[in-house]
Amino acid sequence: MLKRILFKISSLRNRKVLAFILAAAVLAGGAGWYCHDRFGNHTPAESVQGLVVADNAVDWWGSSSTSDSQPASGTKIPGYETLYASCETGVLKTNLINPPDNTCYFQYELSLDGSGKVLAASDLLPPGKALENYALSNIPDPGSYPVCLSVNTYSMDGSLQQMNGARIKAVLIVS
Amino acid sequence: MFKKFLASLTMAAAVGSLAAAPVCAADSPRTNLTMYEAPDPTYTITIPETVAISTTDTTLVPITASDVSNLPDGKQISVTYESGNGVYGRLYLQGTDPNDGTSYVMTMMIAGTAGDFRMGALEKQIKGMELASFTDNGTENFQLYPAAFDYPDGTGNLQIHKGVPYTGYMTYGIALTDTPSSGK
Repeated sequence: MLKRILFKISSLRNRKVLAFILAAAVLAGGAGWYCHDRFGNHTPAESVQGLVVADNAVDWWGSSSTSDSQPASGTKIPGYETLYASCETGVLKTNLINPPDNTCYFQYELSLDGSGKVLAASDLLPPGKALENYALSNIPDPGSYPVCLSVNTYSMDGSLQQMNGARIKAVLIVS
Repeated sequence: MFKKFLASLTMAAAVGSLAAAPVCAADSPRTNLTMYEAPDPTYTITIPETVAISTTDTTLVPITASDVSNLPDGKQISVTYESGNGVYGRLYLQGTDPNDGTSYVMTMMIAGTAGDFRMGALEKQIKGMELASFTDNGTENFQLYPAAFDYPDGTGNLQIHKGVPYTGYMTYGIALTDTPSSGK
């Protein structure tokens, strides 16, 4: 009888200890994850608002300007009339670029016009960089689709303050 | 000597074969086949990174088109108002008084190629407003002024408060559209 009572008490104690250890482990894990995310691999400028600088961008210097006049100051938005994507590979065959003269990050988002279904949302693209063979998160069936290519711009001073941007109406051809 | 003779013979044969070619072609009726697909249009639109809105006068905001090429006939690059940083895409600036922490907004008035000013608080009236259009390289201005100009005795959000830094941003729509003269 005494043994049973002692066993029950011991079992109860074990449960409490076990629960305490589990709770401590969860708290420690959460704190560790927070610290890594907050102070870890990304600099503060790269981690504000969950935006990070793309690590798959390539250098892009663009074509020389054909106009003789002084280049306009401001944010240069490249025009896209038609975008091409491969249904087989699921990548965009058109390069998404941030012209080298710019002084802000670009963040591209491609969505179907009308339904607004997002096909791709890029990380931050620094000036003079391009996304080549960018993988779409959703690839439509082969065909032609009206799309919106949003160009969101962010300051490069560390605060990632959103700046004037653009939404380009284009056609996506999936083949 | 023999070499010279051989060279002359070779030259004569080559010239003779060239001279004979058009005669043969003229004898055979032919159809020339050609194929050409126009390259995709390319252009760059430059929007101002920052605009310092005047507190006393209308502000001209430049939009520039450059490197325009392969634009089809009857098409233009149209730059429109898409949205502002306000709720529902309204166009207003926000500011906080650094002394007492009071928050303010200042609605903007905007005019594009049509010339008439519309209030930035009426998002349905200004969304899609054409601000500039291009068929070639160039710069066009659209206009902005604070709505407070229309309310000289205004208070609260109808007054520009000194010492308050107002900020905001706007998003432009860019698309190729039919030119008004194309009749489409």
